[in-house]
Amino acid sequence: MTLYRIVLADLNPRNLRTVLTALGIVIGVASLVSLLAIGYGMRAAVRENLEGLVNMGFILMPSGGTSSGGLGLGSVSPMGVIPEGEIEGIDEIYGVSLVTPVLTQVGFTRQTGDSALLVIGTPLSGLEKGLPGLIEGSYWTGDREAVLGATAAKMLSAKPGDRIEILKRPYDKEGLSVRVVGILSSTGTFLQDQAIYLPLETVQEFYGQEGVVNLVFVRVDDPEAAEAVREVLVKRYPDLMIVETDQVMQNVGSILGILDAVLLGIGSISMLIAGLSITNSVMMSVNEKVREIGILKALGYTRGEILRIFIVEGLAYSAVGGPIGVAAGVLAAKFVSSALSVRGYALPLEFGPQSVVAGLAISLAVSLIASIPPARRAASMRVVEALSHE
Amino acid sequence: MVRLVDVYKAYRIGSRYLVVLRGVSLEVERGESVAILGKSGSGKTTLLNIIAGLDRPSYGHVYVDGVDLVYLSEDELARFRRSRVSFIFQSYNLISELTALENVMLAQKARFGRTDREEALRTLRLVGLEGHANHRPHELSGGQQQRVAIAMALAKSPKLIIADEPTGALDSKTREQVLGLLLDVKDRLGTTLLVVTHDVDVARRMERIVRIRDGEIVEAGGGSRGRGGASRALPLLSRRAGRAELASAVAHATRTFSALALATSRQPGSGACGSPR
Repeated sequence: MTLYRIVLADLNPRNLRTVLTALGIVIGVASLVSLLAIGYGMRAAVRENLEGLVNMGFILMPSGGTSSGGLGLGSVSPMGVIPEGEIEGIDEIYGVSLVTPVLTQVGFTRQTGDSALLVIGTPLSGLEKGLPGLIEGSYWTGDREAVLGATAAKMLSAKPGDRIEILKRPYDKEGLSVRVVGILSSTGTFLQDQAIYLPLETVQEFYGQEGVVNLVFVRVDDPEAAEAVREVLVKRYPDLMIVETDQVMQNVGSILGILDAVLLGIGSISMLIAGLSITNSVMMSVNEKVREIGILKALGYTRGEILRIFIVEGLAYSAVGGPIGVAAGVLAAKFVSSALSVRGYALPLEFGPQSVVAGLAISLAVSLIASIPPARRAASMRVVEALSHE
Repeated sequence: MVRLVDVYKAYRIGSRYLVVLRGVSLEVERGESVAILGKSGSGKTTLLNIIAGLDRPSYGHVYVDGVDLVYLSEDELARFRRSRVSFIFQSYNLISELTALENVMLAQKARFGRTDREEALRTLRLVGLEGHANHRPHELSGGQQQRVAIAMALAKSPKLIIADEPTGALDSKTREQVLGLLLDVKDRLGTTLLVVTHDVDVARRMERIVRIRDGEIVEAGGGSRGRGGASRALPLLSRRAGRAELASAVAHATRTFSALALATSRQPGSGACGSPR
């Protein structure tokens, strides 16, 4: 440890260079962690949400909603609509076990302020058969009654019997007052748990979209019947997009893959800059400690030992900056999520261990690589020249 | 213990060469104390650097305990320095970030791969600095810093201590203390001591004086003894290399440029390069 104090002694909060270099790592890691969290969160939430809602079967959606639907954000963003009259009779197709026309919108409440909630208008059958059961209360019997997802209930601190007011925009003066009658058990899916479920007609009326839906989930329990059902649907609804669950997953997967790559690219640039900052700092340290390097060499320290000293200095930056960067990344992602929810976009976040481990591991790897060039320079100095350095 | 055979050292400066050592040959016995006396620029520090394995000769051989340093790799030279030699500098060369104790432990770590705090404290006690163990170099006087440097040297239990102007920056009283300490260590531990100095009084405290001028040893024995023991007549090993010897040097030079420099720059009484003699 005595050996490493030669370089570590200068790494204190009073040294501006140390602070700025550590800050570079903090920003790099924070960017990486927040972007990974957003990417992972979007991927996980979209996939789980679609899988939970769709089970095996098809989704019918307006052709105009391709892009947003493909992203899996169709359920929370404006898109085309399907007149209810067009979808009558689907439940009579052989093999179809459940048809759930859904109108999804973004809503707000006075309790949750800027944080958006998903408002899902669905027939009672969709709620009963498509989601896990209730943990409290009952399903609705009237049109001004709501069932809350598990997370939504916690956010609103609501229990059966309470009244809540749903707003179209944050801080609207008037909204839709409904009575909570039941609370769903958790599905483990962000969007489903953070949703307010209402009778389909109530949502259509409140959002001025009477007689239309924006998604139709068609469940097929028998896998062998799926192809026949698809053929009937394609023939009957040539103007609608009909996507199989698998196809949705593939589309979502490929689009999210591109998104991941973009996010990772941005994060990598941040880390590259952080790495260059470490290289610069360690190089300056080497230049300042030429004489000390000479002393160590005169004492008999080998090139490998001197190399390690300066690599440890580089790693010290990430040992300090890495954890702070992870914490800052979590906060930054939450800030972005909060800012987006004000504009009506619910952005789910997921801070899995992989985000934290990846952030720390990458910062250590970048520090290691970044400190090698200056460390090699230190190790290869000629001892006599180093000792005569003023 | 130490044997130099026909050692040359030249530095390239732009397109010219500066010849610092010219065919130096020298033998130092184990346990001997030798002063290398010469004016500034005479090549004495370069000579010491080469013996300590801090620098390499342009031509010639340097044997320490029978090992020719010329053939050692950089890491082998580092291991040689850590196990055989301790170097004491005029400018102390302590690590400013570390305390006196930690500087000594740094030397321990280099030599033994581990540190022993109690042993380091004992070493500091030997040099009379046990009360300053936790002081950093800037909190110590010049003499105290040099004593820390001596403690660092002792911490490595070396067979050879090389001191480059160890008293050059000290007042006369402190100079006596440091010299006494070095000679005491030499007598007690049987360490070989090589001291570079331009101070005749310091040189006279050693068993033998080697005088160096313009990169050549002009006197390799004699001198007065300051500390008992029989004086020993030593052969004058240094000599001016003739043209035939230079031709031989060129043929065998491991570093061609320096050998060529010698052939073209030899001028009596001058280290500067220029027209051939």
